[in-house]
Amino acid sequence: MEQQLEKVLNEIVTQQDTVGALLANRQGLCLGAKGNINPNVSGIGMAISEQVAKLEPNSSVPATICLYSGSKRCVIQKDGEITGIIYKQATTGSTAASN
Amino acid sequence: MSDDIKKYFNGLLHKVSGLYVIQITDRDGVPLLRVSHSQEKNVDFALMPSLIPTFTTASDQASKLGLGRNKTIISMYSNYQVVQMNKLPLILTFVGAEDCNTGHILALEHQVDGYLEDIKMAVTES
Amino acid sequence: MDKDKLIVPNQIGYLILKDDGAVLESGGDLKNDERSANVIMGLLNLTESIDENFMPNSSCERITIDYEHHSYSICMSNRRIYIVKSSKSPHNGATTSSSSSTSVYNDATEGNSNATNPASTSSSTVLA
Repeated sequence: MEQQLEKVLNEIVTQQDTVGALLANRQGLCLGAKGNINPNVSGIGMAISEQVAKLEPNSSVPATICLYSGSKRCVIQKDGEITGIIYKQATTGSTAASN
Repeated sequence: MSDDIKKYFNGLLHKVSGLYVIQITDRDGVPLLRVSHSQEKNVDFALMPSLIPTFTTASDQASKLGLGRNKTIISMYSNYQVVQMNKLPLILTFVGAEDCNTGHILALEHQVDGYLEDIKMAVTES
Repeated sequence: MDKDKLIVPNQIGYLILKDDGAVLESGGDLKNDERSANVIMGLLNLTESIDENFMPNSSCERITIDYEHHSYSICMSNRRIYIVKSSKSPHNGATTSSSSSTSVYNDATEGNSNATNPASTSSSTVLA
């Protein structure tokens, strides 16, 4: 049943610099998680995406939220009922390049 | 100290949108702490004397299913959702709107643990 | 716009808040925009504690919110919160190359191009 979901999550975590990824439903419950990410984050991630949705309620395209802390990034995007959360950590090589 | 704890839980209540009440009781339903949105709709049923003992019984029964000790029971109703956590000797009850962020409520669990320890001490001593 | 402070190129609005949420300065699209300020304060409240194992609490120093044609950058510094709304499309023929944008802006687009695609693929697959 969740094979598609697993496939997509696998695809995401194999991207460069990705630490972990998860998908949350409308209730903030975790639908699936891959990599090094705590499934409990689904609730807060969902809350963040809901909060940002209030910023421009008329926008048709959902916003992408990115939180930065040092070399780490947390990317959150809401699309309809589903919210995706991705943890990224820049490897030393790419940090040097971006600076 | 009690003011501190109350303030903290009030902060939590406002962090989760759609959450009406957070209540800490002992296992018989004796209220120890309760924070609620004053202007929200009537959620007095959360104080019904039967609610907490019913949860305790349900949780005890659920612990017998062979899956280990029951930690949390989430009950969905058409207008409300109730999340109850078994933190014996304490029971933590959250009442929110039906579309409230359940995941966020569940994530509060490990955040409140430190504060619960203080209350637990008070309960076991008495 | 000429009396407004210019913080980054392609800027279309800015807000400077005190750490309690009070608006200190504003301009452009965000002039006197208390509503946006409140939404952003709520957002900062939520981002305080995401996942201690990944990011220590309150360590998040920058947030970007990306829309199709514009984006918001939020930075915390010196107990002030700086919010800049900037346009992605080049203004009045201004140069669009990365040299004209700040590193904040660059980093945000780079981060998203990596991450957004898999996320949007995922949701469409699920909904299909």
